[in-house]
Amino acid sequence: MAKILIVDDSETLRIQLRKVLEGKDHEVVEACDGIKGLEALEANDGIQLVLCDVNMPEMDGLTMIERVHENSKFNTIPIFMLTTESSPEMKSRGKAAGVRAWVTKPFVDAKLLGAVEKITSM
Amino acid sequence: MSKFIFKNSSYIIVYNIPYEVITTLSSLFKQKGLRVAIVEDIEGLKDAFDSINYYCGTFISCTSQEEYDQINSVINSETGIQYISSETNIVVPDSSKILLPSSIEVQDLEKLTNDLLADLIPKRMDELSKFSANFIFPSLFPQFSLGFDDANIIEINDFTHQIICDVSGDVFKGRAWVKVNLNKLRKMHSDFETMREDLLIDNCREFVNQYLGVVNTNMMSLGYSPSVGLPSVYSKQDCESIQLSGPHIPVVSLKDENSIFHVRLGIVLLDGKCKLDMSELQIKEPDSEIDFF
Repeated sequence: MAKILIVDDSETLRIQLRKVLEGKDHEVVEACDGIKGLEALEANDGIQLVLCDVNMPEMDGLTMIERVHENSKFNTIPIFMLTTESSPEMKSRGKAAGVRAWVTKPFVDAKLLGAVEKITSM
Repeated sequence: MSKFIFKNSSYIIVYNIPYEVITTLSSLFKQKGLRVAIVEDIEGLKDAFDSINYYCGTFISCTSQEEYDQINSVINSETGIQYISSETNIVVPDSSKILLPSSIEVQDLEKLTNDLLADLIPKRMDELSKFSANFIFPSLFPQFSLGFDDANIIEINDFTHQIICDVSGDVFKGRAWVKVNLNKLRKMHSDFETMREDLLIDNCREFVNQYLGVVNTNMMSLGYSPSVGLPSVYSKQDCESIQLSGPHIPVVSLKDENSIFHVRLGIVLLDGKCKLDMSELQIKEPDSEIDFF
């Protein structure tokens, strides 16, 4: 069981993810853009994984990740990108920014849960 | 001849065409959101072709094979040249049409116009759009099934909201316009009857986002690296007051059997000189494997 932050501007996606993750007893915190995501990290102790969209208003996901990795309080938290973007260039940017895994939407519940278990149990 | 100054619109070039035909063509193209550049000599033709940002085709009339060949060498485009002349001894490609001026009627020109615009749509784009919409719909709307199929309609007015989302690649740009009727959608399942309107719209918005994600994943098989923008939502009232500018984008159109969704997709090359070649496209589902770094 892990505490997981979901950062996505789509409430539909956040609801879908919450259902999948809470079904396996994970605790979920939500944020609707990169700025709110950074605020949620500050406001919630013990977040063990971040699932983050790329394209969002206010602050996009890759910028948020760069900010997270600049902050010594959070820079060890693993981050998954969960996005419709799947170009090699975009994945390279994510990798360079410190992303641990790239999940392309639509996600498959079992595969996502497997990846979450793999990372949070380490 | 003085240099043309072309706006960021799509143009049809007309060369040496009788005045009454130009008048009818101009009117037909204006309805489709295209402008007409009238040229009278080869220099003007070359100038127009080089200066236009978004070129959709040329209507020409000429009196000799030499003149026709010269025009072809100036235009040098994959986009069809429509040949209109009484000179039947000139050899033109099968794709070009020959109409004798004496027989030209408005409906002939209308057909010619529609054929030319239809030819601007990349082959297999309709197939890709249909596959993407049908693939992604069940993951966003698991409550009911619905099938998208080709729709030979340009506009529908029976909608409550329109979602617009841009895609951009190295050499092309595109846009999806998706009209949705929330009143009809609410009747499809009890989940939707009481759902907050903003959440129902968000569901549709995410459908558009992921639909373009599947389109883009497939475009990558052609060697492009497109990215999806943020979808914007407009109410029907908003749509009546906004003016969307930019080039004419030839679209493929889909709708479902209940006319809840109307999906249009258009892609144009940034150089504007020829249509995107999608003939080698291998349509497939996006890879659901997770990449670990």
